Amino acid sequence: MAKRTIIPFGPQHPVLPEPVHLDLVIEDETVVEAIPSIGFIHRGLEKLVEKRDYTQMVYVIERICGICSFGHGWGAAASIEGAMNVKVPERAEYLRTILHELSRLHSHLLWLGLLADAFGFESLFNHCWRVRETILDILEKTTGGRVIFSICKVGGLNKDIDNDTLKEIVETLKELKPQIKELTDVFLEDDSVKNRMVGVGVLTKADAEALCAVGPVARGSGVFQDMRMTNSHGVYDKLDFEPVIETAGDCYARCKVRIGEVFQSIELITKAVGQIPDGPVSVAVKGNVEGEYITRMEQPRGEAFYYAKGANSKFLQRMRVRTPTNMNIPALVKTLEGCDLADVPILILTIDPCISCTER
Amino acid sequence: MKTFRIAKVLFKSMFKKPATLMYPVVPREWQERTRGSIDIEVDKCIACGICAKRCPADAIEVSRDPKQWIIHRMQCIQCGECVQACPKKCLAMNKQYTEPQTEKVVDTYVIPEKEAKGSAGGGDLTCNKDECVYCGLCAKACPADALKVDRKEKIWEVDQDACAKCGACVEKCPKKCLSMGDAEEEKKAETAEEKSDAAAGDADSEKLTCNKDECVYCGLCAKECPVDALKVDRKEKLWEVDEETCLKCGACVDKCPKKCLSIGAAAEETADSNDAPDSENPGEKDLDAE
Amino acid sequence: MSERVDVKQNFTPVEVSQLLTKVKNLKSDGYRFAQACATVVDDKIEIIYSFDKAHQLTNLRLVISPEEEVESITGDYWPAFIYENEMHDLFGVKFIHMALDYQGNFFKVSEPTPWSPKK
Repeated sequence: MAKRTIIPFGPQHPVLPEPVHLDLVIEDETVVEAIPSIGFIHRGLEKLVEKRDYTQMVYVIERICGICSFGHGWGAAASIEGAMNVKVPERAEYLRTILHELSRLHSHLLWLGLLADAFGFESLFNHCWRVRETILDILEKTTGGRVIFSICKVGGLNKDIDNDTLKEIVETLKELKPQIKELTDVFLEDDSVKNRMVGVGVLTKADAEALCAVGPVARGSGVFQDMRMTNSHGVYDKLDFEPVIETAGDCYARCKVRIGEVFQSIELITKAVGQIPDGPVSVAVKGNVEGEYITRMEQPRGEAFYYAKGANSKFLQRMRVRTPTNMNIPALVKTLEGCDLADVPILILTIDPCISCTER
Repeated sequence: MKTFRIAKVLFKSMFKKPATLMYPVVPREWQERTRGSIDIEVDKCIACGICAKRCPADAIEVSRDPKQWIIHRMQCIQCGECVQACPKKCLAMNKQYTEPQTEKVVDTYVIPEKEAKGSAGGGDLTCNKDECVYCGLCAKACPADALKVDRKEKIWEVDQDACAKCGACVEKCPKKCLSMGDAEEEKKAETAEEKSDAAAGDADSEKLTCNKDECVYCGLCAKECPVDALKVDRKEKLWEVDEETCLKCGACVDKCPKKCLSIGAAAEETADSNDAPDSENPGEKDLDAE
Repeated sequence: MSERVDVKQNFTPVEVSQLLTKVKNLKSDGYRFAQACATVVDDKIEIIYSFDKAHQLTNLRLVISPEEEVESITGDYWPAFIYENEMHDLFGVKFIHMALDYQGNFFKVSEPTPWSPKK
């Protein structure tokens, strides 16, 4: 029997900026057990509901994460709208869907870049982020911010995006598509990339279900699960949406799901722009929040959960945000068991962790 | 074996201009909507303090004595909430970011005293109760929650301490019966003139009608109505007004994007009754008027 | 194209003693654990357990006093350890028989149980 060693991994590690700590129990070069530890950047944002009223709270929740910030703002607004029984105008729902898909695009392109960086493919990383910059420009043009949009509010959107700009966005995405294709082909076909991903960190369908994985991690293992299949948010029912599902369950499958979703997002945006109705983008919301409401939202990283509870006051009693990474950590710990030490960074990356989201 | 698949991308980019910008030699171009920093037109500011109350980051301070508007630039999160909340529209979002500094920047703006108090509306808020229909829209519009309106009891009260004298209610009032301080006399004359047409016809005979040819059944009027007297259904092409509850305040008329609503004018009513034979009320009303 | 799921809001009250049986039933019905969160309501703590099956959400609502001990559900749903440790560290809820107990070291907070109703 080989000697067991414990290697501390993180919270500061060159491969990822996220402060997650893992105690890796190693036998030779193989990980036997991994014990996760988070909580280094707990900010207590949920507690702020006692000092900020519900309209301000949307701006606070939005700042939980810099990558999926639109989804967070939308989730918070949607749960408060649900509790107050506010119906959002259709145009606002369409625009929210379009913005959400744009942020999914930029999130997945960012992730592809980080993945390339994790296995040392620096030029691929640079090119992924070059393409992502175009998406950020679109977002800045339409909302005024590159990563924090502050456009979502309770009752709709702060600003309208006119139809000409929407058409321009579709044109830009059309030009971008072949550029993205060139890059994703490298991920899917290049042997040096495949060697690092195929068959690494397999999560079977049974495991994914038992460990309650969400998002691309679950879909990479063949679990049919996507919150866009519910009517809880957006206009996905009008866009013929079908989730992207792979069955292999390894890093390559998870990568393939995300690449599929990049192109799917472009399709969804094009369809949504074609159907968008005219009309107002917000309704006035007055009064206090009474009652409770749960909204679930498909973020780029998976199912996010928002729970708003009000006790007839402008201030909420509780605003709970559960982010997808929370749900994917158990799956990560499981897949780490039995993998090579050298594959640990890639495995951590393929769940697309967002620890600052997790701790809020 | 498929290796070096990135070659195509690499060769292409060798003959292209760099994707990056030679910052700061080449300055970055900001978009029209870029949320950079908050600007204030101090001349318009009335130091109501609503922006400070709305700010989620507590970055704005407003003091009334001496009149100052203070912003903590490094604390501001550029969400734009204050710009939307400002009743005087004196705040604006600037494209330019605050320059990076080694110390936290605090900008203080001194709000100049208004010369002629009356014309700027510096006085107390008053309501001409003869005109008032107690619709409550002013109370809803008030950003400082200083107004209390009760329709049943016919109460209209203002909490002068809480009132920021922002004028949001004056703008909102469909009957134009609110006014600020010294301007009252002037305003009253104006209102009387404006309302003379409406007043000519007896107040009871006034009636809200919709020109259904123009109507797109958008439902904005129903949303604006302070007493929920309107019922609009887009699918059924239905527009109904509950005569009993309608206050004839005119809020819906102002809101209507198609300008198809009107109050009182008999000519339009007759036209309307021809187009919409199912509504019997206009016909009856015509008889009454004659 | 697959059917859209119309998600309904539902909250089923549950007693401390029945919790484990209910959770076991849900587990055998093929439900996926979605989340657990605590809310301070006056001097009581309200815990909501959410379970998902085919995109349909079921919530259990458990109301306890801060001193009361709650049976851990990590025996059935191992991933719940994250939420139970979180509730323990932030709200001071006491769980027994936890599969993975960090003993208050999951979240690095400057004072213990900052969100407890006693503060």
